[in-house]
Amino acid sequence: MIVPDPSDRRTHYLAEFLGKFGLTDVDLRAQIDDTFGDSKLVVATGSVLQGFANATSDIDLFVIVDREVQGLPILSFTGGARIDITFHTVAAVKQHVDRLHSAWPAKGPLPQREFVARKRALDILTRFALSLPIGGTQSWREWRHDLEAPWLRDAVVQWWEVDAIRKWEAARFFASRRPLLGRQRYYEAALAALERRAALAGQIYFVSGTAKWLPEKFAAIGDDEGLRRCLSVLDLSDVGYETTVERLLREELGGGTLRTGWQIELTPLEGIESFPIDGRTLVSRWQGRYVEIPGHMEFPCSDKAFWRGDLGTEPPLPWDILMEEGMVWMSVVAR
Amino acid sequence: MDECGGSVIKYTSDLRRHVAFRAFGAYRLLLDVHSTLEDVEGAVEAGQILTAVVQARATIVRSLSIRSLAFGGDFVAPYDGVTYDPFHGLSSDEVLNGTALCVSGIGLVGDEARDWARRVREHVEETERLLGYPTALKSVRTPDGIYPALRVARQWLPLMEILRLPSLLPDAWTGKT
Repeated sequence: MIVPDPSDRRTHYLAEFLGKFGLTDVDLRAQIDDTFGDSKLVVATGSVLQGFANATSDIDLFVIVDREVQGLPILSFTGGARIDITFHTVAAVKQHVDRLHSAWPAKGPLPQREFVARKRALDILTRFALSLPIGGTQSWREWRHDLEAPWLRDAVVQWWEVDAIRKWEAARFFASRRPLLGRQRYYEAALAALERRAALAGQIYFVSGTAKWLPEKFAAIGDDEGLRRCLSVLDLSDVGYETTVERLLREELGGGTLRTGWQIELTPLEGIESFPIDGRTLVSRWQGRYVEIPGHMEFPCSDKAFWRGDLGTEPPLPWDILMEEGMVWMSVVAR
Repeated sequence: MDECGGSVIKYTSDLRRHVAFRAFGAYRLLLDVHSTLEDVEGAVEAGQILTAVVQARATIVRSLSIRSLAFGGDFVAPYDGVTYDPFHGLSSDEVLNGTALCVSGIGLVGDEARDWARRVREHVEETERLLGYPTALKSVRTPDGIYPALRVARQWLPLMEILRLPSLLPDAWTGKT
C-alpha cells in the first residue's frame, strides 16, 4: 500500500491518482504476471508522478524482465484508470545506459536510427529515474536509484541543446525556400531550447515530438520568464517571427565555443532510391514524390553521409534539393 | 463521382497516393492525433491552458500532415526529422488558419476554453471525414479501440504490399526497434 511520504511527492501524486479510481498499488502490481518471467523491477511512472496529470492522463507501468519481449503496448483499463504497461529486457536497459554515457553529438555517420535509439534511451531511462518502484529486487531498485545521478540530467540537457541547434539550422535553410515550414522549424527550435532551459533547472521529464508539459515544468519551478518565452513563439503569423525566435535562440543557447567542432550531416532516409535517366538521376522516397538531379548517382548508399559542413553553411547542389524535398536525414555530428 | 444504388462511387487517378492517404492517414489519426487531442481536452479541464495550446499546435500540425498526404506529402512522417514538411501541398491559408486556431486559445478559461477545444476537435473531425471511412475511427486509447485499429491495418496490408508502400504499423509493434 502506497503511503504518502511528505519527503517524496511522487508517493502523494500516485496515491491521489489511484485513489480517484478506488485503486491501490496492490492493484497496479496485479497487472503484471509472469508471462515474460520474473520481474526484476516494476515501477509506476509518467506525468502523474510529476504532478502534471489531468483527467485524461494515464499511469505507466515499466517492468524489467530477463526475457525477450515484443514492443507492442499492453493497455489495461482497471476501475476506469488507464494503465499502459511496457516490458523492457535487462539487456536493453543496460544498452540504453551505455548509449547515454557515450558522447553526444556523436561522430558521424549519424543516420535516423541512431537518433531514434538515443531518443528512446532517454525516454525510457528518464521515466525510470522519475519513477516510484512498486516491486522488484533490491539490486534493481539500486540500479534505478543510480539514474537519479546528475549524469542523466546532463544527457537530457545535451540532447535538447543538440536538437535545438539542429532545428535552428533547418529553420534558416527553409526560411527563404518554404517560409511556413521555416517558421515551424523555428518554433520547434525554440521549444527545444526552452526544454533545455527547464532541464538545466532539473525538469528532465522527457517527451520527444511535442513539448507537451513544457508550460507545467516552468510553472513547477516558478520560471515566469520561461513561460513568457514559451508564449512568445506560439503565433506563426506574427510579423518578424523569425527575428523573435533568432533572438530567443541566441539568448538561450549563447555563442557556444564548444560547438566549433559540430557539423551538419546529411544521410539517406529510409525508402530513398534512384533511377538513371539520360545522364541525370531521378530520386524518390517510397516512390511518393520524385526529384530529378544532374549527374549519375546511386541510392541507397547505406548509412554513408552525403554531405557534411560546418554549422551555418548550406549544402551545395544537389544535396540542397534533396534536403528541400525531405529525402535526407539531417543530424548534428561531432567533427 | 456517380451514384449507384445509393452508394457513392469515387474515382481516383493515383491509386498509390489514394491508398497512402487513407491508410497512413488513419494510422496517424489513431496513433498521434487522438492522443494529442485528448491532451488538449484534459488540459482545458484542468485549467492548464498553455499546455492545451502547445498540444493544440501539435494536434493541428499533425491533422494538417494527414491532409497533405493527399497532395504529395510524405507517406512516413518522421516528426523528429527536420526536413519533413507536414504542410506539403497545402495552401498557406489552410496552414495559417489552423495555427491561428491554436493561438486563439491563449488566456481562455471555463466554457470559452471548452468551445475553443471543441473547434480544435472539429478540425480533426474534418480531417477524418476527408479520409472517407464509413464509421468513426475509435481511439486506440479506449478499451474497445485497439482491435478496430488492427482491423483497419489488416484490410490495407495486402494492397499496400502490392503497391510497395512502406509498413503501416509502428516499428515498436513489429519488433524493429
